[in-house]
Amino acid sequence: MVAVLGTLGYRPQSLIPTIRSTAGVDHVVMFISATARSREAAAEVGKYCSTMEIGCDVVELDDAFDLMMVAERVQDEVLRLRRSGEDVAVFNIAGGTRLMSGAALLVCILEGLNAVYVHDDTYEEIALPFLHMRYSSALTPMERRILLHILERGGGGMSQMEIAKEMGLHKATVNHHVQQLFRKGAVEMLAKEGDRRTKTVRAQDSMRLLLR
Amino acid sequence: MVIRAMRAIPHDRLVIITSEENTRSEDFARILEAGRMAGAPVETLLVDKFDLMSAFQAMVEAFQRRRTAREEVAVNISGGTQLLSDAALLAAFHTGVECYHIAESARRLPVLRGVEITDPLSKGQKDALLAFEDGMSMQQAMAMSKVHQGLMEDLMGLRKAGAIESREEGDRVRLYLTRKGGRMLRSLGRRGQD
Repeated sequence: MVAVLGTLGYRPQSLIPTIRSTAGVDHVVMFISATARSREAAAEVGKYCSTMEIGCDVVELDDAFDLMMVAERVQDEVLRLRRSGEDVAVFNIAGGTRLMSGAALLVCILEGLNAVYVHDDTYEEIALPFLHMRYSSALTPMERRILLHILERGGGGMSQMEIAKEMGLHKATVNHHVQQLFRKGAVEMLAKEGDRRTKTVRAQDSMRLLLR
Repeated sequence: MVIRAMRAIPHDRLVIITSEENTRSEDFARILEAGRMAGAPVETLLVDKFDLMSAFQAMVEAFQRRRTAREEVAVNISGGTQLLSDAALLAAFHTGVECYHIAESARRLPVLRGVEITDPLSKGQKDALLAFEDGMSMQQAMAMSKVHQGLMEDLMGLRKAGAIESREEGDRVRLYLTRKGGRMLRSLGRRGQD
């Protein structure tokens, strides 16, 4: 199965050229905001897909203005399609709110998907320069494990000693990998309240997108 | 959005990325005034707000220039048009600079500091990419693979990553850099086709 994904706003024309120019597409997934005009645009694209005998799904986003929520929803869908053996041929990020477009772009980079932008006036498709590689491969398996552990514990305020104890690792091992995570900006190290000699390790919630 | 970002992200220099037309707006004047009052130098990077790839390229070059001058770079993607915001996000990932989205609070996006777009490539794949000039026939690649062990695997890896493509020319197959491959090559310090 070959799938085309796209964020869609009010203009079906921003997505239809991508469906037309993709060889062998048999499934289209559109991400839209919960508005009547977006639903109308999705219905237009659906009509085109039906004529072309292409399957079509619409994912309605509860809050099209929350970047992380939209990114997680889009990433969920991409991972679900991959698990079911579908090949995501291309993701059109031109439509929808700017946050929908930004979130879709973020997921395309993280998941190494082909992405296209469509020019507002000419409807020319512009391919974006990503490699087909998962961005998170820049983290080692141990860095991923430690980052996941911090996030599962709520993302903040753990000392390296606590991480080592809870994960059953040597303190020096944890220190090495935490330093690497800090160097890459995946975690912050802040002085512990009431004890400035001890540093606590924190990770922002958005780093979850690297670990799914 | 820029004013909020100025409050949320510590900085000692502010570079406003905008279009020429926008420099005549009241908002722009307000940002300049805020920067002046904060005592940090304010500069402007003018980009084409209708051309995603040229805006992206201008930002990549600006970020790389700053980093060469040993300055830390953080980019806020919350302001401007959708196209400018997308170009800034793309440029941040391409160059591995800190990236923020500011709504109610500042949220750091998962761009890994110092990780550039070509970093997932192995050394062998980078070398194979650098070996490209005007394409390479499969016969050449196979001959070279006798000297450079693992070259064929590296080339196949590059093809899977979308950096090169094969084209049939008569009864022969040649490998060519794709646009993406050209950009990767430029990131590695050599000029590629675009």
